[in-house]
Amino acid sequence: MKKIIIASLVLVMALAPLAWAKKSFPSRNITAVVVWGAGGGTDTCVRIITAEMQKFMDVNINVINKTGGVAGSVGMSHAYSQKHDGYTLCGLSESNVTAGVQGGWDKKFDVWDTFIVGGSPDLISVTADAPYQTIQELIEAAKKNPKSIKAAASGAGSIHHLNLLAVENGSGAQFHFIPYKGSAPSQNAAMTGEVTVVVTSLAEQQQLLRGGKLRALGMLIPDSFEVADLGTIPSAFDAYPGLSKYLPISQAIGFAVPADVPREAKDVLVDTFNKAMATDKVKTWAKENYYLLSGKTGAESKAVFDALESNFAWTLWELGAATVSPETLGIPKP
Amino acid sequence: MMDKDRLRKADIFSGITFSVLGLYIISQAVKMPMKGSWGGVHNVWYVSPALFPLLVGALITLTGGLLVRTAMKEVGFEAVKQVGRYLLSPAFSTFLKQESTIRFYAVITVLVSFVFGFVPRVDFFLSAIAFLLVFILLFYLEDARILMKLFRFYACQLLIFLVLFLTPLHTLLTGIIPYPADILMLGFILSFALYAHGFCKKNDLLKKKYMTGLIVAVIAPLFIGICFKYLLLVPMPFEGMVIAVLDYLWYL
Amino acid sequence: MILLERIGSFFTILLGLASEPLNLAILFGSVVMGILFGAMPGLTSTLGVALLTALTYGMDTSLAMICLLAIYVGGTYGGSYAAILINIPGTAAAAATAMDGYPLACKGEGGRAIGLTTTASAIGTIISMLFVVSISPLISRFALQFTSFEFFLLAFFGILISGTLTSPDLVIKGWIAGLLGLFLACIGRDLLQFYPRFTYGIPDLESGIEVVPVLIGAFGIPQIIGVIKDRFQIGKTQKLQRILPEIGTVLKNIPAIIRSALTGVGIGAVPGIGEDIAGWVSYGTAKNTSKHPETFGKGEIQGVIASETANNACVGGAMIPLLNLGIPGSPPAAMLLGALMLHGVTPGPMITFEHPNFILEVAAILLLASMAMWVAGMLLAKQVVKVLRIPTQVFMPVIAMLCVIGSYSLGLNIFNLYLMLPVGIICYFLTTMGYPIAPLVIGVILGPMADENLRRALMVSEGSFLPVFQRPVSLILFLIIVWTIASQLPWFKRKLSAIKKAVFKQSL
Repeated sequence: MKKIIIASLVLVMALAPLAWAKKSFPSRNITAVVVWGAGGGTDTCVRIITAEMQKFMDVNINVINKTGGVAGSVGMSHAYSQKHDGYTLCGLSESNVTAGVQGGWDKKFDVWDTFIVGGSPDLISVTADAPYQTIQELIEAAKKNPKSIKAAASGAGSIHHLNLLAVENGSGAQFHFIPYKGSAPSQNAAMTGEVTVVVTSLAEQQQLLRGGKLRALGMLIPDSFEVADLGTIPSAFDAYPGLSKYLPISQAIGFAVPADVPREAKDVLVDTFNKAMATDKVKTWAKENYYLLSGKTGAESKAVFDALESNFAWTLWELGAATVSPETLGIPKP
Repeated sequence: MMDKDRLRKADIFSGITFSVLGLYIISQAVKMPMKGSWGGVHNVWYVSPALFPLLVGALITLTGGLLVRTAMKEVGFEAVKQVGRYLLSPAFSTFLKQESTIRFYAVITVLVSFVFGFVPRVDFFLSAIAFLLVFILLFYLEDARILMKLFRFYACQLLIFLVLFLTPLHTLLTGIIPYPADILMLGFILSFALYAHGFCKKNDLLKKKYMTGLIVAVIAPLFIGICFKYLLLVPMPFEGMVIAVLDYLWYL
Repeated sequence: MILLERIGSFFTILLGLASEPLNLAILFGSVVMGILFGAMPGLTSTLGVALLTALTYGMDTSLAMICLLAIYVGGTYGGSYAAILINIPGTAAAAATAMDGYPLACKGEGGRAIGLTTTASAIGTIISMLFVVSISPLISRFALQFTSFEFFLLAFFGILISGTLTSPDLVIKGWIAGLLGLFLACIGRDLLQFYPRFTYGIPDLESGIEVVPVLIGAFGIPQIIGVIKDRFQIGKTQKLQRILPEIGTVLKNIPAIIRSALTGVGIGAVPGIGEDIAGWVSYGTAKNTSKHPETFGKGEIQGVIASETANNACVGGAMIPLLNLGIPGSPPAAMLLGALMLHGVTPGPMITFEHPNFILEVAAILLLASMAMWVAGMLLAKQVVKVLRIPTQVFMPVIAMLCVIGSYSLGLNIFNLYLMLPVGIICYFLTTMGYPIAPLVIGVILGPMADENLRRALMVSEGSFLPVFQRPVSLILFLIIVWTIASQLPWFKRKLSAIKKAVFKQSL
């Protein structure tokens, strides 16, 4: 027994240097670290796109979830602390840009090079028994009695909360904001009659809308949206053009690599990402789940995330929910 | 669990501890924002993040106090004095040195060193093998004398490990040789195994136990670790020398 | 009409699941693994479900559910082996089983006892499954009565009742343990306004305390320390003879089995308390209603049947609030909740709309799992005992390693280990001082729910407590809570017995 152990140890020592041998990218499996929980929107999205990407590479992409910290800071720090060689991807979403001002991340977001798959657009809805049939009726009622209508969205500084704030700013109405732990609990609260208005994404709400449990009043994007069994949901911009000054604030789900990853590795990733985005699998999945695909990379996606970062960071700062001033991180005002 | 009389005496002390904890919770909670807008929500007393900690703190203080009262009623103040006398008496220091108490120290040391020392810094396979080897051999040989000797030996090893990480030595070594901590751990495993073998070679029963311990200590981490790492794709807490080799073999 | 329709679709789902060979293979594999987990002291069905949750990652939802529910059912049952044969309950759920099981084994009737518990456990699971199928829709409708106030009261009640029932010593110690859990739950950013509480600037604490490391630390570590320190020796294994149970004894005990199953379902359905308590309550009822209470504790077969039927019936009972309200009914159910969310199923009042067949699917899996458990139990009984022959000093270190990798692998966060061990060591001291551990864990689970919903309820009502008394469900919950607390006060107990005496005299 002892001989076997010693022999195997010698083998281990002898093989260790070999493990460093270099080959062209990618020569071993890639790990995608998703900073949000398994089963959530970001997780599913990253799993789908990486599954398609690995078909165009010789290696596998393993997806793991590393959650926790402030706005996913534990997973982001972990992914960033790995070698910047392109073998570690970081699965993230627009909400991660708040990690900086909330004190979980000491860098500006542009240390990442992002790849945006897409996101599901937000919309504003009311409970089925609410008297408001159109967005105008709701907004006018809210204007008449400010802060009387209860509106649910996930907690302070989430994308849905920002959308609700944008609606208030763009239309001049004021709601009584009740925060929930996520989209599902806020929708449940609308079902029990605890709140009247709810803002979540179409992907999260579609089953309730189609089941007649909630009534969609307006999409918070410039275009209307076609939903099966329901017809067309008009854009809220049609009735209140002022919204275009504040909206759309869209989800941007995808993954990122540190910006200083070698050129050749990044080129391979961009190339396979583009190929994967063009597959039928991804397109069908997006359609079935009410996602709008983006496919932006490089400078384009950087512009998207810069805009999101400045919007989120300054809004949180003004709400008093940020611990670090956006100025100290060098984030410009929107 | 202890007998009823001793339980009540313990209750007095645990009750006081919890009451103090409750007061501490309250003192921290009153520093939280009570009014003004926070996070987009208009803040009033009933929305404040302090509300729930205040409630919990108050209830802990209250129940802790009630527990002390119940226990005092049953055993009286005399019991507190008794405990005080016991803590000062030689009987207490004998208790601290008796075999089962030493076993307690040993279990805690082994667990704490594994979780706080090895897992975050050393290759998981190596640290798990070391943990199991030490844990099993300390107790399975069932000999108080050997337990003490092995425990001292292990404590010395821990000291060397601490020196490596508390001084700049580790950063220095990383530049010269790959995986210095892993190599040190390998040395620990081998030296501990050899040292323990010294006690066992003359006795057939101990020899048999020693071999069982050795086999379990090596096989169990390899089996569980490989299952998690390669079949379940769970990355190990720290991936060092052994995992680099396994990776190389796996993707050959 | 609707009921018939449901039964029809239930059988369609059942056949669909059973006709897939992969499903059956996973079912049997998981049941056996669950039994092994249950039978090994220190490994509980909770830990089994926790470890397997990471494994079921890549599977599709129904396969993952088969795997996890089978572990849960098997683990709850497996605990009885160790309890009967060597007087160490493999899980807390089987603690009551040991009371009469071990004396039976000493009399040489260990095989008979195991055979009977296997059958009783299977019947218990099936009865609870019937409740999941038939009552779930009613509870779903009822669930829409639950707004923030009710959720707060419910969470509070869960902690209170678990503290009351689990305490081996003074009841107040159970409450203290629950409150400590609530305090741990306060740590981290608060969920409504994102204000950091008790984080001391440590970034890892910002997202709050995770349940799994607390769970594993609180139950696993005290066991490991205790067994090694006190050099616990597992006794010689008894001889097993006849495993197949006599039909006559089963038939004779049918009323007892049904009563125990109902107790189990009822306790399982109460959020926050689970199998361990179900076993004790059912055992207590059996003893109180028996014509020969003095035979209990000396090898009474009814005692074994009572606790084992109830703890397995509890599995189905725990599914009712889990699926309909999204509130875990027991610690392993809390793990299941996490696993479900991993697979994109969020249990709650919406489940019947979002996944209309999901509840029936769970019921079908429960039925299959209980049948698989019966078959596996009959085959395994003799073999499984051999695992226990491994010396504890070799066994416990391996379990300690499992605890470490188990609490790390969910979330992949080393910080969870730094949390698990101190919690475990503190819980060891608490256990020796007679504090129950279960309420602490339940406090950590239900704490965020209580906190968030209390404040949100007040936010909606604008600071008024009046809705508590205006809403029927919350009023009932409130009264139950008052009753639970009051019934522990000495002067109230005296009054109550005085009233009882007066009524008794009058009826005479």
